[in-house]
Amino acid sequence: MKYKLSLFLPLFIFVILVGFLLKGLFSDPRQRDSAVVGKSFPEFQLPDLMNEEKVHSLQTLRGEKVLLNVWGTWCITCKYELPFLTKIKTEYGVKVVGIYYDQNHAPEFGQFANIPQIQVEVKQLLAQLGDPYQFHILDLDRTLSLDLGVTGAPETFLMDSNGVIKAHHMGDVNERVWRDKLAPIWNEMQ
Amino acid sequence: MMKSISILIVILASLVSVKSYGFDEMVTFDNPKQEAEYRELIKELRCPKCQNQNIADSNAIVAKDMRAKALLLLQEGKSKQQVVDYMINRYGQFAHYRPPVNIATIMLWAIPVGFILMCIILLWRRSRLSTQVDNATDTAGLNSELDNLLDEVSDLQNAETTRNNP
Repeated sequence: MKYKLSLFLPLFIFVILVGFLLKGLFSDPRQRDSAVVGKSFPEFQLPDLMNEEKVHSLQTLRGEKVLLNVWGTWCITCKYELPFLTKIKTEYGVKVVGIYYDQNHAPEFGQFANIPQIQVEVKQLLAQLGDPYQFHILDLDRTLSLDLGVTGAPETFLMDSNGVIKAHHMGDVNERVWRDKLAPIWNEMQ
Repeated sequence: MMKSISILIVILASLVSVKSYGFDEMVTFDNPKQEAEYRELIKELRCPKCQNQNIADSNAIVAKDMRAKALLLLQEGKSKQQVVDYMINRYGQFAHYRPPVNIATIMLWAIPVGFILMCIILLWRRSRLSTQVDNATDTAGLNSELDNLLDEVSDLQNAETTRNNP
């Protein structure tokens, strides 16, 4: 009996190995757990994209659950999610706030973002593809983005009314992502 | 021909040095200790946007921002470990090239070592088993058995010859 069992050992090891490699084959190497989910949304003091005199902070954001979308007009994928974000705003009443992520602004290299030009581009794009945003937080130095663990655009966060981050999604929000990943969390959120 | 090759080598060699010192002049340090810590940090911290690059090697925006933030934190008097923790708190353990010791990382070392040990034990037990069989062989008994067989054969042969030549 012992002899028969050891006969199947190579097959057993082979099956485990195949299972392990198959899992690796179909997994997305860019997907990883976020470090900020469950934590409080970071403190910030940043201007509005359209009106630089208006300052947004965590205090003004708290009190209502909100979907925060990190985006920029330079980002191709962001354009694809604009219509869908507009849809969930109108159909489910989701409050969407933009965090404008500019990739050109680097004062230490003598590069400065052209804000009036960005404002024009944003208005044109949103008129064309749909405007889900209540307002945009202008994160020119990408400090808020760094605190949020943002690696690029688009990325999406769900924050509850107490200011706790409940979800972090990298990549575009589409029908499938919303239904499978974000909507269940959104509906549970206070 | 030789001359053009040597010119090519000089050009290629100069390109390498330009690349590796490209951004250094942009960064200024308060003291040599800070510089050493900064250099260690940018080698140890991993670009979260890239598949396998440290933030020193990557030109992704997030890597640039992480380099700038690492320097800022060092200038604020934070220790190297505090900077590493700052990044891990935001980008997860992925952002550091020295993973913590936990069950998942121990398995990476334990499984191959365990497998090799298991093979060695199996081989050792098998070889011990075969020597035991050798020792157990009763040579005296076998010899007598063989003698008996030989006797039988010769008896048979004798019987046949007597039958053929009566």
